[in-house]
Amino acid sequence: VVRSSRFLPVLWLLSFLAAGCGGGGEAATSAVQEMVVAAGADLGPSGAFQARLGVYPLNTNVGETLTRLAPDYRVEPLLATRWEYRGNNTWRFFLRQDVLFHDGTPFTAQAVVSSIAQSVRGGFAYGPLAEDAVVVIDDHTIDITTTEPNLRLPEQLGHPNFSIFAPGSDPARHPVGTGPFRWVDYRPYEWIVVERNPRYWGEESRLDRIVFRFYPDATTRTLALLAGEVDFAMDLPREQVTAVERNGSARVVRSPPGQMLNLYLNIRGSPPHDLLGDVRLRRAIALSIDRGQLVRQLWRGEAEEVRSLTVPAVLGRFAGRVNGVAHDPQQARRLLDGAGWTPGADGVRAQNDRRLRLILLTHPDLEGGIGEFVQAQLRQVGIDAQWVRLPDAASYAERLRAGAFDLNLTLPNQNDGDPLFLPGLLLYSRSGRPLARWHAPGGRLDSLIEAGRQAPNPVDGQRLAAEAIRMAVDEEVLVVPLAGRSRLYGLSRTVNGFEPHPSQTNQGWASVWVDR
Amino acid sequence: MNSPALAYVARRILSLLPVWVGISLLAFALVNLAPGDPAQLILLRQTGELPTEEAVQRLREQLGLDDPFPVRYGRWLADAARGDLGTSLRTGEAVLQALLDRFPATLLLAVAALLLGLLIGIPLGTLAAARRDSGFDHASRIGVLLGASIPNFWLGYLFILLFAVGLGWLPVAGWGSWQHLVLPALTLAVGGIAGLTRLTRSTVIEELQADYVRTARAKGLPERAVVRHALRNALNPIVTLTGVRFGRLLAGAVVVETVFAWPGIGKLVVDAIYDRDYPTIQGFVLFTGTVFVLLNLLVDLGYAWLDPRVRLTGKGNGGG
Repeated sequence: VVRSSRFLPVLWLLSFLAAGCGGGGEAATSAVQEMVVAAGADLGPSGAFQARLGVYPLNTNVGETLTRLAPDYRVEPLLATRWEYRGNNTWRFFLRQDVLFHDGTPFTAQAVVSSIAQSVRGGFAYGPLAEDAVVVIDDHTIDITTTEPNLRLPEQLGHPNFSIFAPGSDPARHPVGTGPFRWVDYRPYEWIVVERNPRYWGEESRLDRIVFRFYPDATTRTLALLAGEVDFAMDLPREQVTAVERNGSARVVRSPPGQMLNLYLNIRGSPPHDLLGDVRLRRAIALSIDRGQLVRQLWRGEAEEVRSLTVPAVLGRFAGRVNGVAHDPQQARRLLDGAGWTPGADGVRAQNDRRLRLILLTHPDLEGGIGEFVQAQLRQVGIDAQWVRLPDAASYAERLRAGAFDLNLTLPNQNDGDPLFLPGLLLYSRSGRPLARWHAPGGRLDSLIEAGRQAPNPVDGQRLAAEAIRMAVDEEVLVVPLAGRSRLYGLSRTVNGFEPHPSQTNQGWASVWVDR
Repeated sequence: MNSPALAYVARRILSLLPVWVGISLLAFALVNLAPGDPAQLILLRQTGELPTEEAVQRLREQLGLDDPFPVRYGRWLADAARGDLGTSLRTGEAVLQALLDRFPATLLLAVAALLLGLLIGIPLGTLAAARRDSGFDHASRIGVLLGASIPNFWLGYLFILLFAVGLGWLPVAGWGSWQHLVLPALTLAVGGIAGLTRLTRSTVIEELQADYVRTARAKGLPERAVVRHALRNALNPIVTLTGVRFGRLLAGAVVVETVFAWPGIGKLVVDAIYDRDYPTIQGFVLFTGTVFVLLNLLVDLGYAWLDPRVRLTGKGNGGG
């Protein structure tokens, strides 16, 4: 017989656990100007290989860069007041003089030296920079010399990975920056807490405190907003927009598109991934995809059809030079007929007993449905696209690196003001990136990208970038731009002043306030 | 505890050594065979773009990933023998510390879910057995079927919608107070309640058909006392199931931890697998392997405690 006294340890354990569970001590309080933000998974835990906390992809506004990427993709002064090209791959930056780090020490040229060196050491600096790239001219003047001609440096330096931190501080543990918020607390995978920097050199933040809480599950983020547990939810799932909009206490804010859905084509693959060396096939693929249907039906209108592979604003007045390839399946069929691919009994085309079969990869973070959509569109013109779903970024990256694909559907972001960033990443044969091996044709496209990087005037950079993209999209069909996607945010109706940045990682929080 | 039993316990603890070597070797081989390069992923996470091959190679050298498999495994094993499970490739944290930091959250959730399962499942199953073929029995069987069939994540969302969004009684997710524990523990417990109810019902029914029960009834023992005796004799398979289930819970409940943003080791190891964070995966395998072996030992000790006919000896797995 089980005696009732045997349950006593169980009761003791229960009471112990109940007491122990209450000791977590969450950092959030109910201060008047506090905002709780539901962020996605904690993707930048501390300590790893020169990483910086609260910088990328979630920008907590603790650090600041020399230049700033405005929401309209213009490059503006931030910690540097102005800059000039001095020749011989060298830029001179004149630094702001009235700036203090959060620990009270003054911001000087030495901080730029150590921060850029750390970015380079960590492997997350864009552009051809060496650890000793920065030379101090005086306390508030520096020269930055690139290892290769790169006159797009001021545009690139607006990326948060180039944030400047106090010399001697450890941005992987406790970042000490100059931004409108100072670092308070971090618990890996749980939260980041920042507070207003009372000595901020610019316009002070209206919020006293922001708690970024990590919710890896997107549905839970939405539910936390609807329950009033958070004031702000990042990256709402598209299918939950209606639920939030119907809720009286919350609203949806959309950013201008800053994330591009592009289909990259493997033009240099080895058999059996060698078919897309033929530009007629590539053009047929571009002609067969109905971008309007994709935007309206799959993304419920929360995106825009695009013609260029990058954000049009970054190309300035030259964006219109890229025409894109309009949806025309009849023309696609004619092109395929002309290339000798004739439809078989099952509708799939073949040539000399070889079926027109292509391997389609999609980025694992892309929501379901997009792979099937592209597959279905290609099937209508007789192309059998085999969609290979890979479980994680590691397998995806490995497969791309090995070139075992024909089509790659991915979502690159334009996170800086460099119009050559995306073309230079995958379509420039000397980029050193593994994917350039499969996508970059070399020759004139390389020359255009290099010329764009060597143009002292940013407007010339935009013109040459637009020309390179026109060649890649309109002429060579190396990439098929499909849509520009908006970031979706759920805000409690008490949250005001939020201006969504199309590049989420450059999001500013200082203008936001909460009505309590 | 008598000396044969002590010898038995010592022997079982010693058996951990080959288990550790075996599972760590297997895990090391498996994660190294999986496609993907941790150096490439570290850089990919920091920039959002596939890095240059030069940068990847530099980092591979820095991390010692270019050394041959036996060299890396030997190095890891030697460090592990000194209690150093290495450093996470993803976070730079000491793996042992990361596991110890997250284990309390997992333990808390596992214990709460298990207790809920025991406190609800055993009485429900016993009552269903005692009232076999009654309306209550049929209702409990339908409940068991539902509980065993509903996916965790869906149930979690349902509970959040009802108790957090609708009624506002409990927080949606996170951790830090006892209220945060309720919904994930309940979500996780539902499957356990279903399993325990079903098992308790069937084993108690079996016991109620035994000769000693007929004798007890013939002698006029009240039905409540009869059922209590039957339950006591039906406990061995329940203890086995509880041990297995507890082990699984301690290895982390990834879906529930993700839905409720619960900082347990399940989510930690899944992230480690995605990032090919070899040291964290290794450390986790070793850690959970140890937990399983120790839990099995506790279950065996539980048999002896519950059933005086079971004797533990140093020569075998215990027996009658």
